[in-house]
Amino acid sequence: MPSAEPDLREAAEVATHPAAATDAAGAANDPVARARARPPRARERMRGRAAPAVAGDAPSGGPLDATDRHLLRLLQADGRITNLKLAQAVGLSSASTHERVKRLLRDGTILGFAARLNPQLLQAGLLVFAEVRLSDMSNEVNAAFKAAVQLRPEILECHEVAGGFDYLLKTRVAHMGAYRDLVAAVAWSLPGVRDVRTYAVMEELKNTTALPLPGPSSGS
Amino acid sequence: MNKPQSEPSTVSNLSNDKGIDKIDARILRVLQRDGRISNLKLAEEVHLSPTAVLERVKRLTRENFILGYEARLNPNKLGASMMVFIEVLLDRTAPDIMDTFKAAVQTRPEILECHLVAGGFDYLIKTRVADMAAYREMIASVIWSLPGVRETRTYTVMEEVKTTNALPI
Repeated sequence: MPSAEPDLREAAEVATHPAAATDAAGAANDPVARARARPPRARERMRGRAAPAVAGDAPSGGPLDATDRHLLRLLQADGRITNLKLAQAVGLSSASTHERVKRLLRDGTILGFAARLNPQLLQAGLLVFAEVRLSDMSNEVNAAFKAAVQLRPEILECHEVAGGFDYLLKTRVAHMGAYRDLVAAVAWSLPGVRDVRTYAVMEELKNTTALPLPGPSSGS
Repeated sequence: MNKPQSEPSTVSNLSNDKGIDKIDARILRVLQRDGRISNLKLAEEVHLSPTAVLERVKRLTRENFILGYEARLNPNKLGASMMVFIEVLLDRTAPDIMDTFKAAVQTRPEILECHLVAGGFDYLIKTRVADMAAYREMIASVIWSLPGVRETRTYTVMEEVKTTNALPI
């Protein structure tokens, strides 16, 4: 049996795209029809605005079809799902499911697999963001800052942004004292840092690493 | 390596205050890097027998240190190459407004994170979208339409200097 969650999304896609609906319905129990069901043009329409922004990003094997996206959703939710379960969920043979996953790895759509760990139990329960402004944006100052950021595992993310400050840092630490040590080591020891504004997270309303997978259900 | 070779850890031989010992920490580090590593390879990496490693991974999962496994996908191939942060200021932080806000951010997959923060604004939101048009559509339909939103500030990421989900262990 296909699992319930992805099916809902597929159903939503079908509902908003009547042309694809007949294809998908016909393809449900027939592998041959399924193979024919999604011509490249239909895929493009279904992806809509989600077409790759950069030409170089276009997957070598053509755009992802609905089955690829279904696989990716399942793998984002459970990176250790067995090939057999994947195959059952998307309604393909084990061999062709395996082949698709291999292709998605080969063309760089899947970057890897990772365990999701519990920050609360691993002394990383406090999430703190920091806005950093540099006193000058010379290459030396920027390079020194970027290098310092790479060294510290408590800094999960660092982004150079356009706007009122230069860098946004996302850090996970055990407590405020640890955060203070981190800022002292990374920012205050560097010559070019003008100011650091700290925003401690009181509540994580939503926190996922799962990317929005292109599909009409997420675009309207 | 001068680590002990076997004996599954018990409560009594914890070596730090995380509730895990050094071998557990190494196992977690490896699994953060490669969530699909075989038990055999994992055993080799941490210098334990496969049986002992399997037992440890089971325990770490049972005790909620490991929450799950996920594929890491490439945003550049999935129409999500643009990262934008939003700071949101509310008129007032009344419970009803905050509940509405909380519900609204759950509905959109482009919103990866939303945090209630202490400081100069109320919410920090992390989004991944295809382009500015998609971002504008998202913020208009999700954020600006909410009651109580006084101001939003948009910060477009020009360069992702560092992005990882791996916890420091």
